[in-house]
Amino acid sequence: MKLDNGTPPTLFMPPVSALASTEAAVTLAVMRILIAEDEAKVATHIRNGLTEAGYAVDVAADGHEALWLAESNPYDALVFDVMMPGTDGITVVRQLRRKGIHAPVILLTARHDVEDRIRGLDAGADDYLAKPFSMSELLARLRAVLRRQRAEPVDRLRIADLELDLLTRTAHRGGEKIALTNREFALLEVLMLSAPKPVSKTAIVEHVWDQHFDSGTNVVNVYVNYLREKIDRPGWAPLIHTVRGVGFAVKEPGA
Amino acid sequence: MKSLRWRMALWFALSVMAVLAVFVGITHVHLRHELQVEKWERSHPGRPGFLLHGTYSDPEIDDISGELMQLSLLYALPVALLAVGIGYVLARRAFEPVADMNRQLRAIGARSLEQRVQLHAADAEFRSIEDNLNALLARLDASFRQLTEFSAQVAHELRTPLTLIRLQLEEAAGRIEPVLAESLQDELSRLSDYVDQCLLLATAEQGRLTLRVESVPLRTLVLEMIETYELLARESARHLTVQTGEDVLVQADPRYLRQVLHNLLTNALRHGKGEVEVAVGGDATGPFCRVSNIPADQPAARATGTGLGLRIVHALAGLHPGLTFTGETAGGKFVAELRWR
Repeated sequence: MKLDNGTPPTLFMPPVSALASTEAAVTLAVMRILIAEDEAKVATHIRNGLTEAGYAVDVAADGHEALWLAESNPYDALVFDVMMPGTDGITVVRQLRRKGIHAPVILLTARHDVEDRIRGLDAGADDYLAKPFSMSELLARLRAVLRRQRAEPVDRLRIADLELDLLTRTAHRGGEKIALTNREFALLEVLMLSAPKPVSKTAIVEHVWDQHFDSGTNVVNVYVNYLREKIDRPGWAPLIHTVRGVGFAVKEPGA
Repeated sequence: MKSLRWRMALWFALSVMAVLAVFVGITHVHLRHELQVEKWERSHPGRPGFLLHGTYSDPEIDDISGELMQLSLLYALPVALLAVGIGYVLARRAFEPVADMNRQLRAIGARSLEQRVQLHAADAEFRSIEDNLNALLARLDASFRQLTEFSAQVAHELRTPLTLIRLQLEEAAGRIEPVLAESLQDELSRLSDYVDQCLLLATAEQGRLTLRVESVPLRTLVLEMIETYELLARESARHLTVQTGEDVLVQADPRYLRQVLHNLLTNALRHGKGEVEVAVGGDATGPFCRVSNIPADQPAARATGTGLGLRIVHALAGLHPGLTFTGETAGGKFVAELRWR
């Protein structure tokens, strides 16, 4: 069964409608995610965000609980904070891997140094997200690790007649090749990974640039305009939308 | 370079030679004295009944003692060389623990302060140095660890509320007044960036930052970055020009090099006026990148923001081998220059 391009994601399925091959996603049941985060409020917000995106979510308040839950339940993915009382996130990942539990793990950390990141990935984590992060970024990373886990190709994104090839880094709309600069490509990529949800300007700056800019939002506006000139040409249905106060979104016409 | 080992070998040889000289001197004086008072008697070969009595003449005494002197001086050279050799070997053996200690100390970096110096079968004098060094390392390790833990704690304490605010704000953004939502997000992002910069500065200045140095094409890196700053310049009715020379490879951590350039360019845009000139290339003294601009005439504005940005540039440049950063006002222009040697 093939998902029709116009179908928005239902509540019982991870929002993968932006990805080109979606056959497998439809047959899958609800994905179960374990969050381990000692800050209760942060944990609640992550849980709400993930639940809203259609995942079933459990929350552990510390490393021991996370270890116990992850061992006794089959989770599809794990999201661990690195700094937790008791056992820290990296140790939990290492212990799980030693016990033969290979569900993908995303680490959340307040420390941004490279060694910390390497330590996490060495322990067996699949991805690493620096705090503070955007929900849209966490969801995009989660979808990526879940698809990698199921050995599904993550190299193509499609919204309506706009297609993005992440391997060759090319874009096509209506069969016509669109030449994009590296930054324009990165911008379109982050928008399409989160589609149809909007992405905040801060999250866009983080994805497209290494640095933060004083008038960062203006820079994003300018680049979105460049992108619009190439993607939404006159006569084509506009796909890039401004969500005032929130950010930008790529949405199918009428969605 | 002065080597204690050689000096000790020479001292040893000199003392050996001095002792020998004393012996030779005493022998010489004693011999001369004995020869002078000695009376010899000899039977005549032709006439067995006769006994000849006599003493050594002065030239004979000179001849005998002179020969002794000559022989002594002749043997002195090999003996001296032998003494130096033995002295050197002994000194080297005595200093073996020092060389060992040096090797071990060299292996201890900022990231391996938990290591200690261990000397096997060393003498009491070295044992006490070893003890003192290890106590010093232990104190260094403890304060370093404290600093790292403190930094991590600060990062955690600052970024946890920032995470919470960001998640809540992004969730609520669609329901509140768009202008307010945008302004709050902008300020939050600025605050997060400030926290990042402060923590980066702390890590860099405490020497806890590990660089991943590689060969980076300088011009390519600058040109890749510059587009956005041209845009920002145009936005504030300024102009940014780039002058490029050849593309030279420099040794740098690209991530922190970009951070350094970002701070210099942001600084020029934020605290300067008129044109921002960027020059990148290599000349006789080496690869360089220069950002110059006319400082805006508000010293108050300079005092606030500039401090942190340029301090980070200083700290990061200082961590790169061979890279020097200079920032000075000359001829009404602020010129910031990165130069590799």
